[in-house]
Amino acid sequence: MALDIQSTVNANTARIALSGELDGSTAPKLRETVDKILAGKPAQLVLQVEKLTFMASAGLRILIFAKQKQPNLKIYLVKPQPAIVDTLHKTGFYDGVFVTDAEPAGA
Amino acid sequence: MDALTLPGNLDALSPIRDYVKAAANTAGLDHTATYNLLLAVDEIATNVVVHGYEEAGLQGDISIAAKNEENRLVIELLDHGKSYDPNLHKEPDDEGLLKELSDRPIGGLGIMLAKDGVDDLQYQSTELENVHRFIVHLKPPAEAAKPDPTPAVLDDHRKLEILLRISKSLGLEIRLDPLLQLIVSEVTGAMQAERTTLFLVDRRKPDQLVSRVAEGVGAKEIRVLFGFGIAGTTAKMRQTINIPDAYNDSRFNPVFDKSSGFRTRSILSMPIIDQTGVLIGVVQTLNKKGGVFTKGDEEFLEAICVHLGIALKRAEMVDAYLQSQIVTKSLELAREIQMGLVPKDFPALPEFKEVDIFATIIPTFEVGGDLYDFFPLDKDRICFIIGDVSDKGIPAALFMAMTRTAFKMSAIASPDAIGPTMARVNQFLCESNPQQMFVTALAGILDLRTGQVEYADAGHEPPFIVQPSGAVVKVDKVGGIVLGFMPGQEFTSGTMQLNPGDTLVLYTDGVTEAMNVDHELFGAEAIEKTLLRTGHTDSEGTIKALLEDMGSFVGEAHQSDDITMLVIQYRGRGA
Repeated sequence: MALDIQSTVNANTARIALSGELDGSTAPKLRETVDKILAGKPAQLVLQVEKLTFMASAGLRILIFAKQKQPNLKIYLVKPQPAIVDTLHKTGFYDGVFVTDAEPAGA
Repeated sequence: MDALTLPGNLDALSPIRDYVKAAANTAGLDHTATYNLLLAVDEIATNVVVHGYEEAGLQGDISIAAKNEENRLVIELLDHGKSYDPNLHKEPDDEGLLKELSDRPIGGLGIMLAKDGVDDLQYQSTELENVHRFIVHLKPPAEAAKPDPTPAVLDDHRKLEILLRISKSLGLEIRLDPLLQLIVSEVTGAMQAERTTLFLVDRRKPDQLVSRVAEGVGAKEIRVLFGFGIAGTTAKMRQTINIPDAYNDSRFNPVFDKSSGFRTRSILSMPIIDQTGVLIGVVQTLNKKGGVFTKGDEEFLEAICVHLGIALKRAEMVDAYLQSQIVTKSLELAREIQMGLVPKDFPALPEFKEVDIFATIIPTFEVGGDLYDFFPLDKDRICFIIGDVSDKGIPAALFMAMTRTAFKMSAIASPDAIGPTMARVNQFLCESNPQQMFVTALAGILDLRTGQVEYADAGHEPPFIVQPSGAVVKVDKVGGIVLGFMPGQEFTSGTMQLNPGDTLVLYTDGVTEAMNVDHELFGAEAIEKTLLRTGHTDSEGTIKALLEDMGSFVGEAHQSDDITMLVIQYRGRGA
């Protein structure tokens, strides 16, 4: 199953809706998208991941990539599936991102 | 499931996950376990493709196969790329995980998720292929450890299988320590218990048990007196004790629970007795999963204990043998050092044509307490000594070395008289003799110009002189007390005359007290007889003749003492 990526930028908020599976083969495409979006220096990146059914460490690396590129960037993960939350916990990423059930206020 | 083979690129990841999903479904894994396995296989497959093939500039296939084994699911991932051992890969440590995302090291995350996602990740690389093996227990141990309302019951067939495996694996391990570890883990598994402790009877204190292996308490040694606690009572009564609730049993000592944090519930404690009926130890298995130990468990453990008895007995023997090998080795080394102390090169003193000297030492316990030495005092005089320390083994050898050194230094420092030399050696040995050893010795100074020997006797056997005619004369004892016994002792010397061709034969009591199988002694008379029979010959020939006669006298009997001989033939000046 491939990864579907939909991105929009609104003022200082960038949104990427992901559905499908994020693995080593699909991560490069997402990375390209993130790279493009960060060129506009958004204050926050909102990842809508409710329909993301799988995320390998390649996905985590994109989070690192985004943070390294723009250290003050706030990353939101909206409605991640429990297995992905588990991965975030295991790897310590949970504390580096905002995991929410809804769009951040003011976005 | 049939294996699936795909080209080794990133497009393989998705079909590999589909395959794993199907396998996990067939095996009945729950959602979380399935996802974790998917993630594990995906991470490793990604590494294989990226590091094993692409970065290494290689191309090849990647295959996956699932095996549903008895109580585990095994996924095998095969590739032919560059070897990449996940177990050698450093995982991010806690410090790394706590860092800000932007400061994170990128590598290692995948490996960490892979290892975390399965119960065991094995890796094997051969010339043909690399194999990653992902193992998931179908009933995870964490869950099995929780009390289960229905006690686990093994059928007879399964018990027989376990018994056979234990007997086989015990048979392969002959060293004691690894065997003990093996027993503990095998018993815990076979009895479906949480923990097992193995106590052995202390060989030095046979009324005590000592635990060399106890799961969960680390290397701490537990000592139990016979009759105390459950294990001690088992040992004393030589009876199985089966306790359903430890805290309701007065014999139970909760101190170990307190120190280890473990909570003992049920206990099955059984004596291990070898084939000859000797108690070897006690095996104690704790907390039957899901219940208490049944009569069936008792019978099963009894069957296991028969094997434990045999394996432990054998391992103890092997260990004792290896220990003795170590002792033998150090004795051999000590002997080498000791033999380096006495002159061994013959013909000895070749620059002194007036004498023909030969000597031999045959120690009993590899190192002995006998000594001999000879050395020139000047161009006209040779000093010699033969001695016998009152003990054997390493302490005697050390005392022998001390005596020899003290004698040589003393003789060279004041070469004019043998009596005062012996007195000084005696004094020195008395002052440094905590073990109350002593040395019998006979020492002398041979004047090469005249053949006269001034000698001192410290309780030693009287030597013989073999004359050129073949006549044998026993040298008079001048009387003197053994060295190292009484401080302040003086030594009176005597003189004997060696004429050209005379052979002076010195020996220790290992020669006279050589014993045959009937416990008869070789004796000084036998020495005399041999010397008479052999007649005039050189120093080496004299010793050979004595050794031969002693050998045929002693026969099969064991050598009981060090055997030392020193033979000096005086040839006269201008010989």
